[in-house]
Amino acid sequence: MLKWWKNKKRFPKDPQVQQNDSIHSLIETLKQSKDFTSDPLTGPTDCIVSYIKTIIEPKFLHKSILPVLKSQQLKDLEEIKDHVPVNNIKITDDLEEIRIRIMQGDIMIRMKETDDRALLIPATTVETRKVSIPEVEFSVVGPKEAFVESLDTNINLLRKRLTLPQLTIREVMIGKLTKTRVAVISIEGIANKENLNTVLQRLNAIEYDQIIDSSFLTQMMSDNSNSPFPQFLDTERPDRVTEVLVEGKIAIIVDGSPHALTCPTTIVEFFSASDDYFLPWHLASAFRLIRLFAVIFSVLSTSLYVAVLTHHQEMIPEDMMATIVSSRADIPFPPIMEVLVLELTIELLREAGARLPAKVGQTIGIVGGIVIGTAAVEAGLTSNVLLIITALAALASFTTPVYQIGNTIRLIRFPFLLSAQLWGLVGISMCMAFFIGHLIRLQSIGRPFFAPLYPLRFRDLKDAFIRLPFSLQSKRPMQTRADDSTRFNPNRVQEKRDIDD
Amino acid sequence: MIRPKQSGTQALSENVKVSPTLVFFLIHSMQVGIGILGFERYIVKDAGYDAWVSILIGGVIMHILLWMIYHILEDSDGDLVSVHNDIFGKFLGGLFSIIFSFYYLLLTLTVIRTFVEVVQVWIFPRLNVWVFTFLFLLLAYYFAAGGFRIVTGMCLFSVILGLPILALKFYPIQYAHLENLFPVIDHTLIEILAATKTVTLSYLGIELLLIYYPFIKKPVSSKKWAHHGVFFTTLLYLVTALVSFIYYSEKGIQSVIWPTISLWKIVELPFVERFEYVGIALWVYVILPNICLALWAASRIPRRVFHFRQRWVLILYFIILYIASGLLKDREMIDTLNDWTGKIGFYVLLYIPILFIIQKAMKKARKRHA
Amino acid sequence: MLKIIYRFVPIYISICVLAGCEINSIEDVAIIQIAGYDYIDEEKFRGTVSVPEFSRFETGSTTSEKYFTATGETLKEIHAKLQGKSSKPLIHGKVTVNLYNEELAENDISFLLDNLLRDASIGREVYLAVVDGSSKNMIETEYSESERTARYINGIIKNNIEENFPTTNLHDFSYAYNAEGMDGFLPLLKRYSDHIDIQGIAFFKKGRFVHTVPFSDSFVFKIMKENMKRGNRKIEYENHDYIIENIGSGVKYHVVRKMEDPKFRVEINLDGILNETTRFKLPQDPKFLTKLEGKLEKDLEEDCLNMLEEFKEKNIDPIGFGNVLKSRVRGFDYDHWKEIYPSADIEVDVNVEILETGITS
Repeated sequence: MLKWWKNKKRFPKDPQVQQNDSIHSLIETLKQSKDFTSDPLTGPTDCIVSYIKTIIEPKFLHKSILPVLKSQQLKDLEEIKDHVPVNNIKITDDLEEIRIRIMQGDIMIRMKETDDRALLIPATTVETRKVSIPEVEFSVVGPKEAFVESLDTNINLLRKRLTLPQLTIREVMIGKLTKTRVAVISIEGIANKENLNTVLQRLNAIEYDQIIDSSFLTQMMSDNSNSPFPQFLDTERPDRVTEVLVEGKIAIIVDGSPHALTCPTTIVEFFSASDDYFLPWHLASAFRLIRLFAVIFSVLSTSLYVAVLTHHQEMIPEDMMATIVSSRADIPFPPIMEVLVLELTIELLREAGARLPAKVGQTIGIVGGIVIGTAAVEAGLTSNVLLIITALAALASFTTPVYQIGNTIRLIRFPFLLSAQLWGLVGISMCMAFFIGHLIRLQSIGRPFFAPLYPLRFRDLKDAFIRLPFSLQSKRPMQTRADDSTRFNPNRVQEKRDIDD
Repeated sequence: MIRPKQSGTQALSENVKVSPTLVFFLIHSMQVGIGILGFERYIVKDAGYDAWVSILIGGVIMHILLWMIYHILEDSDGDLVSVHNDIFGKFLGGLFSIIFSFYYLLLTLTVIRTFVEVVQVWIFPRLNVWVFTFLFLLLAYYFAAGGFRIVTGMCLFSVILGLPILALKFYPIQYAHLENLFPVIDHTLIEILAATKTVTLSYLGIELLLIYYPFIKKPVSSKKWAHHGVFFTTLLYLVTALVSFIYYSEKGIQSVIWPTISLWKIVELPFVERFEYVGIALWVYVILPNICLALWAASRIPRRVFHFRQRWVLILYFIILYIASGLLKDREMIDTLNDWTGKIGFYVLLYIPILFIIQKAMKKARKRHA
Repeated sequence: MLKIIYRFVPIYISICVLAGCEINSIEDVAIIQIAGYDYIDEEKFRGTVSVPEFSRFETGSTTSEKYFTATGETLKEIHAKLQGKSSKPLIHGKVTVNLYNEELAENDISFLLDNLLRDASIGREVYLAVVDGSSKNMIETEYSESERTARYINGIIKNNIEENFPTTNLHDFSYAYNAEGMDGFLPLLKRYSDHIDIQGIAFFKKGRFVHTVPFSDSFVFKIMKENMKRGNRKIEYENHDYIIENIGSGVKYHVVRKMEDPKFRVEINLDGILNETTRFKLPQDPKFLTKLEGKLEKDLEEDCLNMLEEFKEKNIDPIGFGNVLKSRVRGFDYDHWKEIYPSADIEVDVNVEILETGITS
């Protein structure tokens, strides 16, 4: 309470940027920009047409508005409104609304320079990318559309998949300066009201000057923003969003961001790919388990290497001893330094590869993987056993279907490494216990993040580490607390037929 | 901050309660702890290789005690503190409750110090006890401060992560000397009962139910799970003891301080040998819920009695534990500590039937008066 | 809470770094793989250890080994002296074979056994063996270009345990050492110029080496001691030799009479395959196999009884009859048993069944 009050005192609102107290001053502000036009029209109709050139459709202005105004004399705004063949025209004297709509690309018409009332005709044109193939969450089979930077296109992608009147879209504007449109999407009657309210409440509570991407929201709305684990799942696949909406979750789409956020989410959801639902259930389950194993391997392998080599030499079997020791011989660093250097090298390569154009990126991969790797081993700086382990661990960390969790996995390796150096296997265990505790404590919009595991929910486990056939998933996950939890009536589906019927 | 109300159940919101199924894990994980690594040796001293009978008898006794605890709690519909307040009045009852708080604290101390000793003896002879216990306690504090839901979660994971260790029992069975178990019951009843007394100490842990009972949703339906938990513990102890009995000779087992850990030495996989290191590392998960739950319960009692903030009590106990476990130096002192905890634990278990009878008697008396 | 943790992170890291200074990682230690002890006189004995040397450029299996020898009165003293000769700290955790020379074994190896059992870092599948001659020489000889001595000796024992030699390792020996009414045994090795042979079985009375049987008889001992899966035995029958490959044998001990005047019956059921003969074809006699089985049964029973007789003479009980009796009798009196063991009545009953005769008749 006290803190909030203090903050308020320290950061008073900035009136210069925020408000213009009259329409006149607004136009004065806008006139500083070259692309703002405010022309008095002297034809049959006397009025002033103002708009921002770069954000409206000029064709529309010339074909639908100007002919109307020039062909006959219209006396007031109401008359203009009746004659212009466009929907969603508004007459208002609300300064705030005028300001927002002009900035979004409306054409403003006033009768006189001093008028406070204005007619607003939407004529926006927005440059967007074409809907293209998903790049982050690519899948071999299944739909190949990805979200783009336009909110309306994105909603279009969802609407065409879910032709349902209950699909509700609520819009909020966030960002003191950017006034970004944020859409909260849910299916009425399935999505839990409480979840929806939490999301809206958190969105409205956000105080920041800019919202550039949905990842801003991930960080601002998180239940625990200090956690390395993302508490909202972000995806660029409209099909995936549709899927979770049907499960009763809530999606958030930000204008200008090609990623949608879905919530409430759980840790296991980050390891399920959309491919899992396109394959038969046994294959999908097997791949999911492989992915899970890969993640565990990725987190633990290097720290196990450090623990065993520095503290528990006895654990290495006789047959492997020669291989390991002879690869380690003459290497000047202790295992922990060796691992850290290699891990950092791989991070470096990844970072460099991510920032470079695709074609150059490949070169970096080759240079890093082959040249540096072999050279380091040849030079006796790292052991080849470790090189294999680290490379495999890095590879395994890229198997995660959601990009964000991959980052988390790569990061949490380091505390494990340090604890392995400190107390060997016991240290690793303690570090793991800490992360388990952290995951138990974590929540995604108030719902447990570690869900089908703790609290233990057998119904949700059907689609966690393995994916059982659709016929067994007759209920929506408990995690979402869906208002309507049944997907279909299992009795009707599972009616047994006799042989040869 | 909302002050906790005196009566247990009403003050708790649904968010902090756990489902009755989880009582299985709460009971089981609290019972199994550091004791299972070395209890075989002590019971063999009393009853030789007939001690497995004592384990069964001990299990039955635990079921009876559990039944009594449920009766006590159902009648008062609160926790130990409200039971004590009902029976002994505010002052004396509060005193008794605080004694329980100290007992739980002692339990925590024993577990943590014994585990540190195991780590010292088996892995790091030159371990810095001060640093290790500090970080370990910090971990326990992180859980306990998260509240009962988090502690329960750790109990669940402790049981799940502990299960693979059970699979290791297969290896010593290859060296089995089944004849060790025969002739069946070659000891007198008194010897077997003496071993039963020793073995009950390994079963300690159900008395924590006295504190966390109000945290269970639909407590009546949790009864079944609690009994399942005790049964599973009995089974686990039985299997552990039997495997050790057929692996070691009767003389041999008495010279081994931690038979279960020594037994892991025989495990050999193509990529890893000497499983005792893995076993001890996994044991972290087995003893963490012990520490967290006992620490949580210990710090909960002063909150209920004096309305202190639990967080401050927790920090105070943290400091006490830290200093105490650092001051305990050698095997002898730790053995004495274990001995004492065992003795006190035995009296605590003995206190439960007494409490049960007093409560029943008072209830009857009140009925007659009413 | 998190704030508190963050505050401790720097401390934590510094601990890591500090702790890192005194830790020896695997290439900085000398891993003892084989240790041998020789008798010098009443008080002194000599210890020899071998440490493999791994070098980077000879990839994979390196053969170079280093040997250290020291004499002393206690194990600690020897270890200290050995440490003084090594450039890297010696680690005992991976020792796989422990050798004792005959004289030392005759003088009790209990104290060496205790050391092995007490050290937390030592495993339980360590092979112990008695050496005919000097264990120092045995360790310091190079037997093979591609195999280290430790692996070589380890391999010899391991391989033979799967065949004719009875199971033995540190766990089994210490089990027998601790058990009432059971005595241990170890392989007896001898070094020749370029190889090592299992000479036989060395039997112990607790920690003292007292008796030995030749390797050729180890089959007989093994079928009496444990259930076995592999092994082979030669029979002489009507001037021809036949080799029976044992594909499975089981042993059961029956106590016929109890404590006061104990009598045991050892029942051995053996299934075998006729595998090699010194003649071209088997005779046409339809009862031939039955006769062969009978001959083998008689041979084995005789050998078993002879061996048991020797055990009784030396007053050792490697089969563990005392242990058997203890599990069958209430109120077993160990002291009494020790007295009556040499006079105990033991009967051996062998049943042989030859299942197959190969793919030619």
